[in-house]
Amino acid sequence: MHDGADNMGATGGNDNGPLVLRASYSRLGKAIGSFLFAGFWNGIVSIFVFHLIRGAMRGAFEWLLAIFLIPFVLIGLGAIVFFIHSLLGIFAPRVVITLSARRIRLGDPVELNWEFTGRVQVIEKLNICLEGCEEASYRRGTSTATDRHIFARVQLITSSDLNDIRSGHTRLQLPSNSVPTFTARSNKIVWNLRVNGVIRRFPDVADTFPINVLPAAPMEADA
Amino acid sequence: MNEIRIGTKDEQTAFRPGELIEGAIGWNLPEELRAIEVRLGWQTRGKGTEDAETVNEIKFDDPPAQGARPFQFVAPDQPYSFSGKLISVIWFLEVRVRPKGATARKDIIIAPTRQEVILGAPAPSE
Repeated sequence: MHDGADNMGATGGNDNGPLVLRASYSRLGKAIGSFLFAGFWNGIVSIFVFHLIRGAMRGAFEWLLAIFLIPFVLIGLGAIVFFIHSLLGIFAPRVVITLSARRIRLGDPVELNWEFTGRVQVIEKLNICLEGCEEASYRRGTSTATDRHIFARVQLITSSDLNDIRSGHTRLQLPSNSVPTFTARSNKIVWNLRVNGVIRRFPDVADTFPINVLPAAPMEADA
Repeated sequence: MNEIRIGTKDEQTAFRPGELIEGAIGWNLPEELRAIEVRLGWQTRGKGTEDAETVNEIKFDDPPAQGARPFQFVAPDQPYSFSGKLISVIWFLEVRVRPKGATARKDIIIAPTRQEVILGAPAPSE
């Protein structure tokens, strides 16, 4: 079970100092991953498409193969679109999230600061929220499936004002009646800060910052 | 007679983290025993594959065929006892007899309010 005091996805700072959060995955990594998948998938599908086209040019179009290939070609096209989307996402404005404390306990207030760099003026609306999520993994046939359920959502900021979007701060208070981060092999409780910046005709800013939530400070014993 | 029992002081079944969990086990078994173990642990229930962990354990070696022993644990900080849509965490006290493997078990709650946390429940009013 995870019981670390330090925060996940964090850089810098000491136990009492501020904490700069890191996104759960990098945009470049997402773009590279989607490129590799699109290249692999379309590389294989293109062999059959090439075979189909060559047959058609010889006057022997294989209808059954063509119908069979339709879903695979559609998935390949979707993979290309996703790659382009991920590639453009690299150039979206970047956000740095800083928390005032490194150790975040249930019920304790924490100051949250955000600051965008890059073409921040393209963001039309900013939404930052905290989400608590159950994650349960289980075997399904020969693979492992994971179900997720969001049990807590705390809205922190929603704004369409450019000055508010560029940088700001708010108070984050984790629900005192909830549970800390829990990490077992197949079952997890995760807490994420989600930053969503809506950009017209361009991939949105959609970054997730996992935070390690510690148990509440000990309560006074009953009288 | 083949009997194993586990109980807590004042029949308390809910504890805060850091609180003392005191109790006793009793047994009356027909043959020689190698050991009796008392465990404090948790397990998950729900949609995910079960996870479980023994957090603390007390072992009594070469006990007589019948007897009783007190035990004491400190309730850990986490995980809390909770119940959600997909996952629940249940704390338990368990006594296990070696080599027979016979067991007795008592479910308990460990949480700051001494009540199982229900995920998604509205926050208490100030």
